[in-house]
Parts: sequence; C-alpha cells; structure tokens
Amino acid sequence: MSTGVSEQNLLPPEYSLAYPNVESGLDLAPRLSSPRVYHADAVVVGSGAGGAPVAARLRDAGLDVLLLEEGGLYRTADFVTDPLESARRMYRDAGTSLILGQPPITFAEGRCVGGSTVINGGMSWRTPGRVLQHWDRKLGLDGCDEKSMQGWFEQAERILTPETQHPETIGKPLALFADAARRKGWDPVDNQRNMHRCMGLNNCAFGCPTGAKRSMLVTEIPRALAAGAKLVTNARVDRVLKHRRRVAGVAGSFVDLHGRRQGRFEVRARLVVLAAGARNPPGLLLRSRLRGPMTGRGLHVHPNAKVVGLFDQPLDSWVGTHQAHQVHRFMDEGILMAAAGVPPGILAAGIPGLGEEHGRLMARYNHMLTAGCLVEDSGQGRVRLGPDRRPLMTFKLSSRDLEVLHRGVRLLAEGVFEAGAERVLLPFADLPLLESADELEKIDQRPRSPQGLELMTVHIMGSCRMAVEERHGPCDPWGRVRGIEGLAVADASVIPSPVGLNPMQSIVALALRNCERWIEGFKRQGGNGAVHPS
Amino acid sequence: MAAYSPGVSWRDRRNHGLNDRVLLAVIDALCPHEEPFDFDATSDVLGELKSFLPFLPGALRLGLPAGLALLEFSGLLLPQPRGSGRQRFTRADRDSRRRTLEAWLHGGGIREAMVAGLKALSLLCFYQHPSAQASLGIDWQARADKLTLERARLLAAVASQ
Ligand SMILES: Cc1cc2nc3c(=O)[nH]c(=O)nc-3n(C[C@H](O)[C@H](O)[C@H](O)COP(=O)(O)OP(=O)(O)OC[C@H]3O[C@@H](n4cnc5c(N)ncnc54)[C@H](O)[C@@H]3O)c2cc1C
Ligand code: SF4
Repeated sequence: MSTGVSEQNLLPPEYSLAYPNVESGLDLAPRLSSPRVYHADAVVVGSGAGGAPVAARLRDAGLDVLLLEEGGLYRTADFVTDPLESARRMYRDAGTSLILGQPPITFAEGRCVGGSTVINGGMSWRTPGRVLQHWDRKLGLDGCDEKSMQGWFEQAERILTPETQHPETIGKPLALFADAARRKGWDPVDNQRNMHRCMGLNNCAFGCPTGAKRSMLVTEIPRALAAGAKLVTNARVDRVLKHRRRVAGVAGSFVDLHGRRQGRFEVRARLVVLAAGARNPPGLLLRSRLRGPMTGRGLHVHPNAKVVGLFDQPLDSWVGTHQAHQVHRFMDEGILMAAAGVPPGILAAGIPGLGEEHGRLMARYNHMLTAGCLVEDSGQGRVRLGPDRRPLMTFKLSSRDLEVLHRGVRLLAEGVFEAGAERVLLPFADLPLLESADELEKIDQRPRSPQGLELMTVHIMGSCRMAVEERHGPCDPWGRVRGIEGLAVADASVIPSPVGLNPMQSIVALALRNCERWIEGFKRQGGNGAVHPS
Repeated sequence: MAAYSPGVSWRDRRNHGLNDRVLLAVIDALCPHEEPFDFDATSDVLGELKSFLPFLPGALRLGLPAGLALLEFSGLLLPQPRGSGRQRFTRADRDSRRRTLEAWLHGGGIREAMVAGLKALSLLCFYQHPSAQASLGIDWQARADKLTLERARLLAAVASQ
C-alpha cells in the first residue's frame, strides 16, 4: 500500500508520546541517606484504571498532584511479545499470584505505570443497569442509578474511546464461536474495546506494541503529566500517615523489579487517594492501623473457567485479536461468555496430562478454540495481612457459584461443539475431556465439588466497598474512608457488588464521580497546598 | 531409560545444587520430548523458571525448597504410586517421575499447589521457547513488527487526507 508518507522510521503516534515530570525511585535511591520527602496537595497511590484519571482530574482542578507507582514506566516502544519478559516487568509477582481457597484461583494484575490497563484485554463496558439498580435501590447508594451515572460513563468513554473490532482482525476461532452462538440463538454482541484501530495482534496482555490499546499509559497519564502532575515510579507506599483524625500523607519505599527496598520516601499531602487495585488498599489500611469492621471483607473475584475445543481443521489460533464478541444472554444468571485467543505458553497450564500426553494435545494448538465464562460470584472473599505483612487474598466459592460455574462450562462446551469441535477439554481434573456432544450430560452429572476445578481471574473488587453504613463497607458512598479526613479510595476496591462483566469502565466512572466530591471538600477547607506535619 | 534424557549432561547435573537438580528432573518429566517438540530445552526452561522464583509471593518462595526436598525424598519416605520404586526423585526414570508428579497434582493440599505451580511455570517457559514456537509455526514478534508498521501507515494515511 502506498500512502505517500515517508516509510522511513514510520511509527504509530503513541511512540512519540512525551512523559515529562517523571522520576524513577531507582535512580534516586542510591543517592539517599535519609528518606526523600515530597510535598503535594494530593498524592495518588497507583496509576491504573482508577488512579490515572483521578490524577489527571485533580490536576485539572488546580491541585498540585503527585502520582506514585510501585512498578516501572514501560512505554509503547518497550513492549515485547515475549510473555515471560513482560510478566517479569509488568505483572505483580510476575503473574504468579494466587487467591487461596478450595480451589486456589490463579490471579494476575499489573504492576507498572498504567496498572492493569496496560496488560488487560481492553474490554470496555458500562456497569449493567441491573447492577446499578441494585446499588441504588438495595444498597441505597445515592447517585448510582443509571441516569445519574450516565454522565460519568460518557466521561469514562471519552478517555477509553471504545470501538468494535474491524472484521479482518478477528481470527478464525473467535469467528467460529460467534457463528455458533448466533445459531444457538445466544445473540453474541460485538465487543467494546478501548482501542484505536486495533490490528488484531493479540499481545494485549503483554502491552500493545502497535499502540492501539487506549490504556492509561497512552491517555490519562501523559495528559496529567503534561498538565504538571508529577510521577514517581518504583515507589511503593507502605503506610498512610495521619495526624489525629486527618490524613497527613504516605510513607513508602523505592523498590526494584523484585520488590526489594532500595530507599525510603515520605509524602506530605492533605488528600491521599488509594488507587492500588483491590488487593492492596486493604493491606495499606490494615498496616496503617486504619481498620474498620469491613476493611478487606467482601472481596469478589469473578471466577473464570475455560474449555478448549479441538478441531480437525486448522484454525491458526494465534492469529487475530484477543476477544471480539461476548455472549450476554445469560448475564442474568451470572454468566458471561466469550471465545479468546490465548498464547500457547499461557494455555498450556490448563491442558491436561504431562509430558508426551500433554505435548500431543499442544501440538494441535493451532486447531484449538478457547472459550471462557466469567461468573458473577456470591461467595466470600477477604484480603488480610499475610505473615510477611503483605495482602493475602482468600475466597470461598458459594454453592451457587459452583452451580453457575457448571452451567457456564456446560454452555461453553455446547457452543464449542456447535462451532465444530471434535472433542472438548474441560476445566475438571476428574472430567478432563468430552469425546462428543453426546457426553455433555456428564457435566450436569458431575458432583458440585470445588476439588479439581481449574479457575483463574483477572477481576477482583469490593475489598473496601462504598456503603451507606460502616458495617457494610469502610468507605462512604463517595469512596471516602470513614473515620479519617482526607483519605479516599479510587480503585476496584470500592465497587459495592460484583459487576458481572469486565470492570475497567465501572472503575473509571466511579473514580471520576467520587473525585468531584473530594475536590469540593479540598477546596472547601481552603486547600492550597498547606501541609500537616506527620 | 536414563534419569534425564535427552540432553542434560553429567557435568551440568554435578554443577547444580539440590534445588536445581530436582527442578531439572521436574522439568524433564513435565515437558514433552517427542515430535514436534523433539528438541532439548530443559536447561533453558530451568534458566527461565529460576528467573521467576524471586518474584513468587513470599510464602511460596520460602516454601519451595522444602517442597522440592520433600519431592526428592518422597520416594523413600512416602507410599508411592503403582509402578514407582523406592528411590530418590532425581534417580527415578522419566515415567516414574511423571507418575509421582501426577499423584501430587491430584492429591490436594500444598503438594498439589506446588506441582500445579511448577507445571504452569515450566510449560509456560517451554511453549514460549523459540524452538516450541517454531514447531507451532508461530512468530509473534514478526507479526508485531508487521502490524505496527501497518497501523502506522493507516494512521499516517488518514492524517494526510
Ligand atoms: C490480564 C488482564 C486482563 C484484563 N482484561 C480486562 C478487560 O478486558 N476489560 C476490563 O474491563 N478489565 C480487564 N481487566 C481488569 C482491569 O484491568 C482491572 O480491573 C483494573 O485495571 C483495575 O483497576 P485498579 O485501578 O483497581 O487497579 P490497577 O489498574 O491494577 O492499578 C493499580 C496500580 O497500583 C499500583 N500499586 C499497587 N500497590 C501499590 C503501592 N503500595 N504503592 C504504589 N503503587 C501501588 C500497581 O502497581 C498498579 O499499577 C484485566 C486485568 C488483567 C490483569
Ligand atoms: S489485539 Fe493487538 S493491536 Fe489490538 S489491542 Fe491487542 S495488542 Fe493491540
């Protein structure tokens, strides 16, 4: 194709984004003999879906903003297609985190500038009306009804700019599953993804090297920095500082890639916003002795189960975007379904067998269609401090969750057979394979046991939830932590109940909504950079 | 069948500590060796896997050496799956090691969690190995380079209109 544009060094525009006002804790640490002290009006802890838009909005409102991020800054030009390298750089625990319970649930979250938005699949959906109604009517959270939230979703969408997928970027497995879902009357919907001209590379989970994904790294972070906010990377907050019943700032450590402390810092600020992902704020509050009866309780995890269809015909399973359609038809039952492109190394853990048995299946990787279901859970989860004083997550599936998971797996298997699979691999150690659609009933007959069930998740929420009363959540209905002035939460922890679909847009919208209140409060108190000593 | 095959030389084995020797034996048992994966990646996989260990959550990182030691001596201390003799894990042949790992993998508790974790990490490293990717006909980086340029062209064309 000739565009008339010089091809020399031709790169997408995201490659030339500027990141001014950034300092790396690792560059500073060797020169420090005592903790480095920063002063700001507001400090935002974490730069992901909640933190980045809040930092930009606070800066728009004229506050002096410091954004602290435990991970490093990796720009579009730094992204590689090697999942191992990417996981070590950009994932917490290099992607090896677990939610303990029966069964343990594999969990992943980002630890880099832009947080999990840099490594997520880019699905960008508004909170379903049914869920908003629950927050408004059942939980009594004013301003959470669909009408009041409309404006916040619009603002979130101006940042995320969701698009549907160009047809030529959709790989064969995804197209086959969507066709099958249509034949079954499941009305698959085109995915809304925060991207601009996605090319269907499917490197989303390791950073988008084409620049298409509109993660916080290429949207709100450069915008906040250009407006004068300051970002310190490799800076892990360990504690919230307080003076009587008012927040005074935060204290933390400069950390290397392995999380090892290299130096210390303190920030004096009148407004502290925790936006560190639903695992971390409860840990920070507990470590800072800011414990409420519900701190860390009410964690929801959207457990995901997957099936893999084995096809006779080649599907070129590595080609095409990560996800293009979803089945929303069963969301009232708590089930969301989609086919997804999964790289071989990631898929391998869930393929049954060892050694040659495993290898014979994996040799057919390009004949595989992977589809997953996300369950709107009702089980009990919690974040507490582990023996190493770091946050530790536990989750117990409810009997309803088990029932819904089995129903979800059954539907997925039906869909994958309908798409033309010869055999289907299941997420059950005691029922790893269906040889034909005639065997689908074996799923119904399986005892509803959590034992041997393979689950993963990338969505956690609700560990510091917004609630009208303290006995239901540590944050008030505007994300402010009760019992201490000037401390707020802006990440997935405040979500009052599971959203039942990809949560990023809900997080952004709630963060923007709540942030307006914090700005009002800050200004009402004559906020102009005055700092309380710790 | 040799304790390790193909590929890890005696010199390599002598130079590795107990943890590494058990890990090598685990990787050798977990990964396939037959066509189309008939290349030797065991040492590379060990290197990649070890690069993940410092990132493991605290309890896992601290517990792993004890877990590996238990695996090494379980053949002498614990009842074994059918067909596996009473011997150290690293001295057992590949089939016996696979039987032991299968038994741990479906046995529940901490042993299951450890082997599931090792399976996930070893196979991640194995199937992302350049030789495995080549066997599967995958070249993600080349596709990334091509699509990045294509997107740049598309956006430049739009901008110049
Ligand atoms: C692989 C993957 C795929 C996903 N796919 C989708 C999807 O397609 N659509 C969707 O809607 N959602 C998706 N999600 C989930 C979504 O990305 C997250 O729910 C969302 O980003 C969470 O926002 P957050 O602000 O709570 O946390 P994050 O975005 O995770 O940001 C938290 C940031 O805080 C930093 N931090 C943590 N602790 C500290 C500390 N003590 N000090 C300083 N910094 C700290 C972290 O390093 C991190 O960068 C996916 C997630 C993953 C991991
Ligand atoms: S599919 Fe590829 S181009 Fe599209 S967002 Fe993901 S990594 Fe970027």
